Amino acid sequence: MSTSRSSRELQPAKLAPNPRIAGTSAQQSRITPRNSDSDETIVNAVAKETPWRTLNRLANIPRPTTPLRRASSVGPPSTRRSGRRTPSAQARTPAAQRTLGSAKRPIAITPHGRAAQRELDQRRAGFTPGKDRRRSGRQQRETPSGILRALSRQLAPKSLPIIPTPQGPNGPTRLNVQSRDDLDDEPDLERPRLSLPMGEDEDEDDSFLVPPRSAGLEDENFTIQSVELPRRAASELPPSRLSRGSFGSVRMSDAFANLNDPGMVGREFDGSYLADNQFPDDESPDMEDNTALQGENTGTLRGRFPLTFGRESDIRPELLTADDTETTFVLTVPRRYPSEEGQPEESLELPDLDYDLELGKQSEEEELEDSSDKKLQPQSSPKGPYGDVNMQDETQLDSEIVNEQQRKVSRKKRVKVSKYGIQYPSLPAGVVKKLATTFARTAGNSKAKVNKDSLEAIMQASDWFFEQVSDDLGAYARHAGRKTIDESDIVTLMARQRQTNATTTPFSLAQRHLPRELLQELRMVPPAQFQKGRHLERVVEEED
Amino acid sequence: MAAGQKLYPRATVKKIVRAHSKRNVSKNVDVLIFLDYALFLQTLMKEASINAKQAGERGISAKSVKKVTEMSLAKFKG
Repeated sequence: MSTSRSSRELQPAKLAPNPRIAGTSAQQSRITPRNSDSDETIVNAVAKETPWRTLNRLANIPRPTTPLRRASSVGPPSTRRSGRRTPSAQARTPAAQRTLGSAKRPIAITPHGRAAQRELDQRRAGFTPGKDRRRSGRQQRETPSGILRALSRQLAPKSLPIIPTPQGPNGPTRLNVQSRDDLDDEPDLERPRLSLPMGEDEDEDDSFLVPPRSAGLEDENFTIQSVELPRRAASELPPSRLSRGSFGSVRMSDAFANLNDPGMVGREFDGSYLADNQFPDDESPDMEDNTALQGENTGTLRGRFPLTFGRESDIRPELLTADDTETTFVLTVPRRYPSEEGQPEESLELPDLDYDLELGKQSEEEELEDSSDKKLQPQSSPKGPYGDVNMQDETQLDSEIVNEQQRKVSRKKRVKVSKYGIQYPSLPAGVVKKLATTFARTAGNSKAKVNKDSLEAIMQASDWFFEQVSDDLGAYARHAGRKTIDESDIVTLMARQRQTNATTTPFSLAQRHLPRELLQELRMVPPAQFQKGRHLERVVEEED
Repeated sequence: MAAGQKLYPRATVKKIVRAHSKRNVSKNVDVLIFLDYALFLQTLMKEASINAKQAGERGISAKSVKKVTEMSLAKFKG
């Protein structure tokens, strides 16, 4: 205690002069660091008494006095410990040593206790080899790996490296030779096999790529059919868009149906055309035709091809057998187009010729007729008449398709089919228009008019709305296990739509939006069953 | 609203809902459904007029209606 006090008292005394000297030395050193000798002496003197050193000393001083704790309990161990300490250990911070010492071993009080501790330490050493390793190098050498190493060191000079070859070749040589022969045979065969896919791409490409190619061809058909989609969209844009939401209307299928009727013409025509395509010679004309078609084509032209791809097989033989030349194609196209007859016969084609003559390709057709080669001409010379006919037909078909679609749309308006296959009407346009105009006026511009197009869009939107709402209502009813859509369903729906909340009840809405007679209808609802009953009563009161 | 004539064909609404849901519609539910439809139409027209004004159109064009349709339908998704 006294020493510590004295040290504490000393501390300020020592620290006090230091800053002064240090300050002067620092200033001097800054000015002339190495020139002045006297300054160096001062600096050395100061260096001996830097605050760091003083602190170290202060830290070291209390060391002997630390027994504060232990002094009361046991004298000797603490003294022994202090005696044990080496100056290097003293250099360490006291706190670390204290913690280490305390952590390492509790103080052994009696010799028996020390013996017990020793025992414990030995056991621990047995359990934890790591400790031993740190403490003693001997035990570490006795590890199995060390033993093995020592053994190897002793054995290494005596043992000779194993030479496998000398005895081996005599007995098993023949076997080896045989095996080598096999190996020789095998590597010749196998190496090329392994390398084949790398090197001989061409030979095996066929075998490998054929299935993908075939699949690719099929896929091409499909892809072209899928390319057909834009055509549908282009020709059918308004209806397809409008019908997008409704599953029931199934306009895609309608689109197919539309294509089927006029497609009969194009199909057969294209069937032959495709048949020609499969012949190697026709690639160039095909390309030209394609380019020409693409140049002028509408979406429908592309669409036509896929259809033809799909069904070419049936039609092709007929055309080949039946018709002599391109004229046949020319003939077939117009013939079926106007007449829309199911199956062609040769007799029927002649009138078709006349028809085409009327169209104004008499000269070409006559020439083609004169040159009656069945297969070659369709392949070789399809370009001129083909392309022209194609274009004419396509354009006509386009127009017709559009017309048919429009017809269908108009028809659709009257009868739509839900996804359950039930036909349903849409709200009469007059009602929708009236509502829409009133709402548009309330919405903003007072003299808003709903023109025909926007009315159509609104009608479509309302159709979608009814579909969506009916779906939801049906789902609610089904969830409730009912077969009928109840009022609770629509109330739930309106709540979920956030149309009704705590402040606005369906009946306040009804009062706002519905005419009186409809409110009367609502009032007829049996009141007690639903929560709505209250609202109903309230409504009645309000109206009274 | 319209006074004399009936506001809407109730049977039609019922038919529509029945066709879409394949379930019967109990009595007077169609009134509420029509009320919901009226609300939807109100929303639709409001949004459409806003859209038309933003686009600088006079009146309400079909385009603005179509643009707004999806959003207002989403609003009325139950």
